[in-house]
Amino acid sequence: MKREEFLKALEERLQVLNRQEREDIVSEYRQHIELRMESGLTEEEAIGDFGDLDELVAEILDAYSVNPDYGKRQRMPGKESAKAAGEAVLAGTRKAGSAGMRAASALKGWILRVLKGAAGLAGRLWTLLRGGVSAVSRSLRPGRKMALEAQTWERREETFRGNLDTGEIPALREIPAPGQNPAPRLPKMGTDRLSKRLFRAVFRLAVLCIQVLGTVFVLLPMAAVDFMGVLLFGGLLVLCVMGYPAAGLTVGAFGGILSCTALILLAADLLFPGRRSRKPAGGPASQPERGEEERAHEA
Amino acid sequence: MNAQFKKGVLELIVLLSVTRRDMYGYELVSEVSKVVDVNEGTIYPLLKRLTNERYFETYLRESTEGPPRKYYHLTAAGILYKDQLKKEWQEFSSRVNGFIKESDRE
Repeated sequence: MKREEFLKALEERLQVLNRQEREDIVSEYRQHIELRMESGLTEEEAIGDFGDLDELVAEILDAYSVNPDYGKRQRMPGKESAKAAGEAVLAGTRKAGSAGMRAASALKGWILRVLKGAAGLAGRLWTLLRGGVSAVSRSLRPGRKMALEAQTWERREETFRGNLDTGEIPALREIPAPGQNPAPRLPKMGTDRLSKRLFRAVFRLAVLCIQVLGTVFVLLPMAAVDFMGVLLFGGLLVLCVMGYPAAGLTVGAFGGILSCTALILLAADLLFPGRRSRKPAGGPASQPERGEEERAHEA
Repeated sequence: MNAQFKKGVLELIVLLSVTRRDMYGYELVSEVSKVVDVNEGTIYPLLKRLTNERYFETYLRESTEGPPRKYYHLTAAGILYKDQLKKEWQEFSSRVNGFIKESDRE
């Protein structure tokens, strides 16, 4: 075999390595062959130094902890295939042994993932539910965002030099489109502003109604029940201390208090979205924040 | 000569060769060949493995006789590893020699 043939075959077999490493190795072997030839050997003999190409490649790949059979071609005559079969059986039995352990840990991992997934799903459904309701009420209520939009529109009006009502721009020539699209007309700003204001007022009223009704019919009764629950709990506790067999009722009352409080908080959150005592951020910003929190928890 | 013997001691000899001075591949191979006759197919991959495991550092140095040569230099970790291997070899060989002496007596 000639030197270049050998080196080319070597390079081909080392495709799994990155280019830098491959070039490094090939150039070093090339140098070795050259130096050997200088000291008198023929090309064939110099290449013979390296021994069997397959073994050489296996050793090299071993240095990178790459499976030495990586990329090996399927040409396996007799003895080699028998050896390969034996090694495969050995590897198979070893794998079977570790497979049992791996199956167990895989099962555990799977169970944990399912649980986490379920928890995450539940959390996301909850956010969706909350988000859905609050999104509806938010779209009804004019938020900061709409106010900002209105401002931008107003600023655009000031810089726009054309005729607002008909959309004609005096400085520009109208470019005739190929017959089909007329020049796009800008919206009539004058009339729109009035209707927008009306819309806003109506929605604000509607949301206020919902909030009032909700408070009166849901929050206040729940608060009353909660308070009575506290009193009941106190009384039962005294009875318990005095010796009466009222332990079960006491625990039940305590549970009732907790449930009522939870329901009150839920209703308040649904009715008055965006009002967070801890975070100063407004409604639209908090949704992605919460989503990020969920994702951080899951990760 | 038994191939397993040679393979076992090759690492130690390679490390010892580079202790005195940095060498490039070909030079190292000829040094090692003086002690134990292995083919280059084993030595170069061994050098590569020792480099990947950070026992060797390599650098290129220009040479007057052709392309720049890659020199191998023993790192601090390499020195420690070499000392450990040397100690292990000495213990091992003395035990084997002792056992041989015993079996010869009988």
